[in-house]
Amino acid sequence: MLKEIVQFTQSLKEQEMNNIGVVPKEGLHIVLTLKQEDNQVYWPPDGFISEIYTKKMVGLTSFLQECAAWAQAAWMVNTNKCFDLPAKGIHSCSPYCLAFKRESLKGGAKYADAKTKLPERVNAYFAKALDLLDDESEKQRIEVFKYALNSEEKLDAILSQIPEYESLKDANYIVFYLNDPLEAYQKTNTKYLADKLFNTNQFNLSVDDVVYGTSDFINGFSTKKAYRLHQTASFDIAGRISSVEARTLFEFHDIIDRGILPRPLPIFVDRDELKKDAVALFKKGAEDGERIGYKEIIETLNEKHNDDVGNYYLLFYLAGEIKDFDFVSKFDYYLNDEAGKPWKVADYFSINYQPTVKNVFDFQYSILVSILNNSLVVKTKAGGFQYKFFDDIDAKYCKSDNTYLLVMKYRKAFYDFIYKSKRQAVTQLMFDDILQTSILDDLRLDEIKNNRHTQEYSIRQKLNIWFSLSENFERKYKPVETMANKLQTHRKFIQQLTKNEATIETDEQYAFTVGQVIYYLLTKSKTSDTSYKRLEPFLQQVHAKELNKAIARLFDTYKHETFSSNFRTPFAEVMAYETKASIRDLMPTTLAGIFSQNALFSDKEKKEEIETESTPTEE
Amino acid sequence: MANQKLISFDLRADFGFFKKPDYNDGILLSYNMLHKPALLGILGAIIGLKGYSKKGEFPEYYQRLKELPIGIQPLDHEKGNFQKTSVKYTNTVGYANDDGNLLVEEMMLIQPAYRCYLLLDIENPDHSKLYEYLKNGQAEYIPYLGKNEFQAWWLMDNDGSVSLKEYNHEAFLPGQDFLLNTLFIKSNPLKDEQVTVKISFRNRTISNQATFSYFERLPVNFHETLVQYQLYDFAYTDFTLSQESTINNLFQIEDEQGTKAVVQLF
Repeated sequence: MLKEIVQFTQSLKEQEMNNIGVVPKEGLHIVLTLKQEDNQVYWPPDGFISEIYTKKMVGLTSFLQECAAWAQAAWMVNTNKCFDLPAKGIHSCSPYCLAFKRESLKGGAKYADAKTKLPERVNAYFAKALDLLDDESEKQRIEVFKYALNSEEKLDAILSQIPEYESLKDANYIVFYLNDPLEAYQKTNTKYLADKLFNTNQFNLSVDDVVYGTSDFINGFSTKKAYRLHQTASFDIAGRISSVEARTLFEFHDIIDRGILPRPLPIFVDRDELKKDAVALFKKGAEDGERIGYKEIIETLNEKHNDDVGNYYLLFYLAGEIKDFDFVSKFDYYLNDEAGKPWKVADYFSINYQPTVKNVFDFQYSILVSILNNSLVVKTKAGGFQYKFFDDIDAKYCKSDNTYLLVMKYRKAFYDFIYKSKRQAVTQLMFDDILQTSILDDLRLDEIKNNRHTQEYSIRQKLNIWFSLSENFERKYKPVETMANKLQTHRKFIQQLTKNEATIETDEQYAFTVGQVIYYLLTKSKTSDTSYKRLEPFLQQVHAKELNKAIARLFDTYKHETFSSNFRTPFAEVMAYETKASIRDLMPTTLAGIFSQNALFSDKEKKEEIETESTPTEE
Repeated sequence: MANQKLISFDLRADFGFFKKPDYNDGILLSYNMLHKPALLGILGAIIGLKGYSKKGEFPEYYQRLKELPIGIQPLDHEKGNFQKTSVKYTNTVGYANDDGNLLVEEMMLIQPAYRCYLLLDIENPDHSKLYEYLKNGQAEYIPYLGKNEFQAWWLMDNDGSVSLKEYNHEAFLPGQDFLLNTLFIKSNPLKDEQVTVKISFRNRTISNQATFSYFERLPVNFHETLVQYQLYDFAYTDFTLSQESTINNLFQIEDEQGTKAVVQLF
């Protein structure tokens, strides 16, 4: 993996992306200018200029741009490798720069607790920083710089002249720069990094004049974790990298932390034209100040290279951690069924919801949002989207606990399906599980508000999706009949059954009729709560015998009501039917029976039903 | 040649994890393909050779089997890839953690399967033993794909027979375009090795319509000084490869049914 990242970073550097998107640290930036007279270098107490930078600022002044470039060449690798150990309060590592947070000065949160206050540590910091210089006269100049900053009074004297200082928060930086050329900063930085790019120098080996050491890129020594240590291996270090690779990985870390690269990030190998085009797109996005997304990149490349995009590593890097890194042999953009036609959701359950799902991104934005209740791909109120493929998700922001569990269980599979074209990742079994669980959840959560079912639209939308798309996912056996075909057959069958022209012969016919019967019986209730929660006792049943008993009890409750002639035969057939099959396995058909137009009503009842039927509206 | 036997066996497991040693923070990744040092470890386990035991000393199986030419062909894959999933482990026992709980997250392969080709020298006692053990479905130590909870087998389903096949073989020098069944070491960009898609205007058919190329940098052996994996660029494709290709160590094999194929052994 490191080799691929190193090659990719080289491509970024070749297209001069290494300096794009560099911004200063949030806080106060102060540049001191030394003067020279009669061979004497000195600093006049008013010889400084300053500016404040906040993330809310749009665009950078040339002063702040210069500060950002200086800081980049003056910053520590991490706090364990700074010059201010053990306090770790000074975050610059250059003789030309002194950087610390506001919290380390008087009035700051860390000031009181510090055994040695930060201003008293400035001399020690410069003592180490001066080791990075060889030239004696340069060292003399830095002594002057140091002398301007090495006590509380001197720092106060400068900061008290800057009105913005008062407005700084504890987390804001105060950075002092010496007004010297960037090359001087970079020279000392190279010397600093030469020693610090490896995790530790303890295991360095030299082979053919190249130094190999332990990588510092998300790598550490967990000596306190016995199970992580190689107890019997031939080697101490599982993999050393060269100093050039270490430097490049450091640069990659710096670039990716700027947030200018897409997430997930495609890293192309083998095909130079794709590599160049992709990096050009990243660069354009970064220059325009917008992080270009994976979707836009892949769509643009797909169009330009005639649907022949592939051979890339897909890196998902989040908050300093690698969450996923996998190879994509070929990106399959379009979603076509076995007949070669785009996926299409048909409006089987009468809500006028019938999107066409032509490609994986249609699937992501249209289908995933619906079936996982806006919890994995989140459509925000502003109209944008957030993705939770690898983030920590708080269950309280999901529609239900079941939704949370479904997201956590299947999100990696959907990530592979969409972004890596792994069609085997999502199986029909998984899709059915999601839809069944999700619809049962909606039934449980349903309420009547303003004379409408709160979950009606969601349930019917999911049923449409389920019956339309289920067969398109990876499955063990090719079905003879699809869910959609069976639905049409069942609807014809129930019409015949009500007219006494057919009898229940299969478990599926039974399940569909059960759905119709339950729904019909429940409409006889005069209760004010007519929500779908009332279906739960029936849908929890496993055995047909028990389910029939529950239906008989329901009938008993409303036996004083009048029943249509259409109801008689289906009810009698259901009561007489016996099967040992699990009712749970027949759930899709039962739900289809419940939510299909009910054939058991008489014409008069049908009219009343239409009048009370809620009009579905999108949530 | 008289002492040589070219065999293959199908190695399968429910899960696999061939750890990439690049880094150790966050999720730990697995190579997608079985690689040579891992296969040698499995073969060593089958004939009872010792594994890692001492710092600075290569394990017995590696010392004795490192010259064995092998070839690897992924089975039941999707464009070269296996499905993957991640699992988090939490270890809370005190003796393993001086500074709090050990949290490990690993990306593992789901149902990886590989056809492993071996060119055995029957006069070599290790190779001879290996042949007997593979043929009889025997193993001294339980073989596994990367971690000992991912036990591997080469027995066929239910009937208990082994998947071992023997081949007639000869060195293959590309005199015509060819398909390569195994992973191969890539020295040039693959597009230079591939035969482009041919369209027959007469029949209106497309020949050599390949679907994928898979690339991975995989360990082949150990760097003797650095004592770490030496990685090579590998490729695996269903493209027809050109007769001018520069791929080395190719063998034409023919099984008992007369089916011919080309494999690379390295």
